Amino acid sequence: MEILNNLLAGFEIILTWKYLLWCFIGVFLGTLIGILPGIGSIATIAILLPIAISLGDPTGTLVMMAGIYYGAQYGGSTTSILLNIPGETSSMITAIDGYKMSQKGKAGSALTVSALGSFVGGIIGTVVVCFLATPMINSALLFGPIEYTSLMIMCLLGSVFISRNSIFVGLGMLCTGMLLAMIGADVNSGTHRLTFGQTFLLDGITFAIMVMGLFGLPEVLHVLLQNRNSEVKKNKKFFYFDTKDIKQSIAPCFRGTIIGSILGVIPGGGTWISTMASYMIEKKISKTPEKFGTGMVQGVAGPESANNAAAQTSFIPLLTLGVPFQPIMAMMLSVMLMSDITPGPQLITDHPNIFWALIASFCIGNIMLLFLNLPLIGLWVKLLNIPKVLLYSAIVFFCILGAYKINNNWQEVVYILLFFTALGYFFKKIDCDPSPLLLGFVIGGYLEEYLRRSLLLHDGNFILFLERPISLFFIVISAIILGCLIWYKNKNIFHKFLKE
Amino acid sequence: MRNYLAFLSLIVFLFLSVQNTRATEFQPTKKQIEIIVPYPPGGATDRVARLVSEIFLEHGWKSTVLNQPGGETTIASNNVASAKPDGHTLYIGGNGFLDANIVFDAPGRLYNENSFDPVVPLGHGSLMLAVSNTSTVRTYEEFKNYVKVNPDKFKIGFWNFYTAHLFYEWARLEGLPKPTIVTYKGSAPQITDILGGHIEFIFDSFTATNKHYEADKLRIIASLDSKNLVRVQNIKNDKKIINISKDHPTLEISTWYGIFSPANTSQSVKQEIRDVVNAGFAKQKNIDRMAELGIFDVGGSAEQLNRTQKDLLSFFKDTLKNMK
Repeated sequence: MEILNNLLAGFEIILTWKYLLWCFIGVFLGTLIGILPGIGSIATIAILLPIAISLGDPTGTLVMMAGIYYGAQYGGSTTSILLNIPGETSSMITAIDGYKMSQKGKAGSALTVSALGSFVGGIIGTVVVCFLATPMINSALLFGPIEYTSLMIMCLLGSVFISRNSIFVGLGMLCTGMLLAMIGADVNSGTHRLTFGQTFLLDGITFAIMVMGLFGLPEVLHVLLQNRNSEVKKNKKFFYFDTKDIKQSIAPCFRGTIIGSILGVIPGGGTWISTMASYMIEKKISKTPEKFGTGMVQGVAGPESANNAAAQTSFIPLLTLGVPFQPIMAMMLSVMLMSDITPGPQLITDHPNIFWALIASFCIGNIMLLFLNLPLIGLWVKLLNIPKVLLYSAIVFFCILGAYKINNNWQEVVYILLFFTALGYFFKKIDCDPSPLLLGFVIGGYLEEYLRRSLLLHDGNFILFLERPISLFFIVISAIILGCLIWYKNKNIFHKFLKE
Repeated sequence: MRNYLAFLSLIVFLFLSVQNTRATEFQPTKKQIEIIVPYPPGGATDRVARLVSEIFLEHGWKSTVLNQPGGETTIASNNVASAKPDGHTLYIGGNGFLDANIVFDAPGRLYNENSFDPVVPLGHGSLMLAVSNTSTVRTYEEFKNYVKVNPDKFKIGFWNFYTAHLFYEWARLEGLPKPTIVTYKGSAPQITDILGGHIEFIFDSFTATNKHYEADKLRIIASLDSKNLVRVQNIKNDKKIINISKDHPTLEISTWYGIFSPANTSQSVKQEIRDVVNAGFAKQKNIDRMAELGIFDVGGSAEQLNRTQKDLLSFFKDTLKNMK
């Protein structure tokens, strides 16, 4: 009952013109960047971060940033279905059957199923966040430095799974990220590490600039250097709509939602893994698995529900424990910290308005997205015909300006942004996913902080990590993950799956 | 090829179009006053700067807040120290940029205590000694006895490495064993740890601790200065909460904020700015907004700010540097 009262209070805040506008801007931008290949939700949040923060309204900032994230999950499916160009990584699976459906002239069905599936996943995911977050926050005070250290170890190992590369490359990326997190002043002794005498490195590398360099600008360069024709060719039956497809997609929608809701909360889960897991399960339980890949509506409904449910539930670890399990959540963490809000057990007591308004905005945002995506699909698709030079010049401009505005320091733009853009482009060229590097950077920093604090508080006693029940639980899970990693060795199950 | 040339020229054009001009003399109604904050947006210093900016705007002046975090405040401090002393560049400074960075000689520092002119003080906050509810300690006297008997349990949480040296001096003056300083990145994680019983003692601001004290989630047993002592004693009418610096005046250290300008700014410009700021902080709504941040006694003269800054600097120099 208390949860419902709090949620109603959240709705009271969000149902004002000001926050409805923030929410609309967020989901609108999310849909836009989801549709446009070349710039993902992480880079968009990084670009908009300085502008949003300077407005001085943390609730509005968070509502908008969250809207961009889950809005991108909706938008990403449109170009996957119509053009076989996934705007977001999580929409890659949708492209397999969705594009085939549109080639058969069933684009209308595919897009409707995708939008409705996303809506169901998003709304149920929000309900899960609502009812799971409060008990988790209440028990989060049981987490001390020891428990957090073990949790971070589990997260780091789990993050290797999100890599689309081989396990060893994933581990390499993770270690590089952890090494980058060491740059700057040591929190315990004040000693400057790996700064090479550069003042702008004393506080470490600015996360948002690194993200823009690794993800945003290389994507733009990659698209610009490709001469891909993204013009949409419509046929007569392009937006043909079949109610039979809707009926067939109901069960996969709910299965996808359950899978997404669970995988969103697990380290190494998230939208990408949940769409794949949902697709695999739909294929396994289907009476006609051989037809998957030829335009099966279940191959669209399941993954789309799964990625939206995961997009919502992935907020749970961040809001309750202050721990980001996915790169995008690391970005959201950065948004919160820059707004002087520390996610974790204190969030619900220190900022209850922000917490419940954010959750209420998930519901409102999902409803807005349904209306934005179903009737306006034709309009969104026309955006792909905007000249690339205009569109991407503007994106590069805002990237550089955004990078400068974060700290008003040109050195960071020249050195950090350029370095990571070059690195990101190199990774792109060799088809190497830098996501584990990003998580290694964020979680690695926390791991060092918590590990050293644990040892300081308990006089260097390592045995405590095995004596505390919560810590022991995470250590056991970490050992299982490590075992799985060794078992798979260098085999990339995801690439293998995609090839199939 | 034409596409790429068009792409490059568009970007160059966009950057050239956002260039701005610099002020040459103090004309706040025509040219913007840049208030430099050495921390990212959102924190207490940033909020103070935005309030000052609002006061300027209400007065009809043009003003903007520019966050220049990095290099442990060195980057912003260097920029202000080398800025034109025309009153259009102001700095919201506090304990860190002068005391800690000068005494501990932060790398890349291009300024000293004479590089800035004090303009107007923006008030003080206090540090409280808080104890976890899981601890048996109830008063400051009990605390002293407890750590003397259990020196291995004398671990104090705090959120700044440099200022942590202050606590070694406090322990020495009180005849306590040397504490282990557990450093946190900011106040929130250490408050979470003390509420969960993962750390027994912390020093934190009046604002961060008082609401939890009021809700019986932790205990406040002492204050490091006298400024907020009565406020904290009144929360539960507990006169056993003592002021540590009463017996050791050199420990009377609080967190403080002030507006500085680059050295050699003209007296008339500083006076004009001071008058506007003091008038703004005479209004109750602005006093209340500062109180929400745990900052009290806002406004005053340049001499007050100069004294606060110089006293602290000499304390750091004379006492703490020797302990490093």
